[in-house]
Amino acid sequence: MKPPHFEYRRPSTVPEALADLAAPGARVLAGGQSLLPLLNQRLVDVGRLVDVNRITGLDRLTVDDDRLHVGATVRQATALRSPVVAAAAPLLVAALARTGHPQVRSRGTVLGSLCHHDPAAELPAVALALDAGIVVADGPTVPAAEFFGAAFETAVPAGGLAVAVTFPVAPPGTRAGFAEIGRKAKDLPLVAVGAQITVADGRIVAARVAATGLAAHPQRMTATEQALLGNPADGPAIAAAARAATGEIDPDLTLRASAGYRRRVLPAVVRRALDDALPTAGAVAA
Amino acid sequence: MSELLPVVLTVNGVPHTAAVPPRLLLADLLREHLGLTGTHLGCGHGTCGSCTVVLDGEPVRSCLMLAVQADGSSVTTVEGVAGDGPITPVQQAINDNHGMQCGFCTPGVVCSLTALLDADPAPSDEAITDTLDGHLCRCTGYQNIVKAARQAAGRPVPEVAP
Repeated sequence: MKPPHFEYRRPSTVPEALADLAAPGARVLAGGQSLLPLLNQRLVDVGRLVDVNRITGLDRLTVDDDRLHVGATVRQATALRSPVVAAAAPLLVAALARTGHPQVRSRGTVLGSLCHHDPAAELPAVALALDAGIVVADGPTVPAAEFFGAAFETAVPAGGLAVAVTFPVAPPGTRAGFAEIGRKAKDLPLVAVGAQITVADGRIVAARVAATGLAAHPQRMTATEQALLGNPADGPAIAAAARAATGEIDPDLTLRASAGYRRRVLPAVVRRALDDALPTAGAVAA
Repeated sequence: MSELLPVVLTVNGVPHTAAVPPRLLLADLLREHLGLTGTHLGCGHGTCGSCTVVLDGEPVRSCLMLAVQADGSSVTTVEGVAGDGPITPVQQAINDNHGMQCGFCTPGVVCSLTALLDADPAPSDEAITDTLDGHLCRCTGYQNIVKAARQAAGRPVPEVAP
């Protein structure tokens, strides 16, 4: 359970990091909470680790121009405790509370989870639901909808470096809910759903819902969102949304549970996420 | 491949300098180079929590960090939580409540609870559970560890149901 040999580089600027990453077999080391387990178990091999933790400015966590900016080395624990994040992207906070253990969130980064892209991880669904943008050094900002490829693959090119993820700032009256079913608390879920809902004058005026654990990459649930929009924030709206969820996604992931199990539990997880987001709506019978 | 990198860090208040291979884990620096074998390595891939130490105030898995990444950091291990003083309220509470049996997971539990209580002297039950979720204990069934955590947090310790 020890990592194989590799070269180690610790650049202090993004251009230095890109130069270090140009070598074959080079890989980015940020929080390391997914990469180190893989290295320790020798499930991956790397020629060189490029440790980006000392690059100045990558720990930026600010709101600018109506976008929440989360730099590549912002720890999950930092984001979870941040009042700025809680106000701007409540779904990110709701999901982070379910992401890993506190001892892992102290090192794990928000962006690292997106770039690792485990098909069961929580944060990619958050990025998709919130229309996040992933800022790639010397490249375009990639919308979350175009970022996630097959499992463990993303739009970051070989030798590239994602430097930040940005989220639109939520309008007033926005609440979030997150629910998941898994074999163990804090472990990767089997199915997880995140919802960020904006209510004005008692009616749902914005709904962002996405799920993870259903397929090779996270799924935006547009039919579920449509079922909520314009309706009062109440139990019947939640029930209608859970029904819509059943119709819009046919899970095909079979990792640790069958696709049929995922199909069966999805509406319940949607309902729990929405109950969490809209506690005043009241629980709805199955 | 045997390039050695300098690491300067403070462990339990004592400054140390070491030259380490890049792949050396922080847990192995503590145990093998500094002789601090109170940090226990269980699973070696971040699941069990036994190797948890406090790094710059935060609880971290020392098996999921390279030693070289701790350069410039301050680390507290179970050997250092009490400093030169008597055992801490966390340690005393684990003793009082039989919050350990074989003791393998205990150093990590002590470090996590120490970090939790340093950040928030009155954590909620939810925060205590959240922290202890990060530790596997195959002996106690966790109830006595939870009781110890509540005692250390200055809260009533529930009696075991008859």
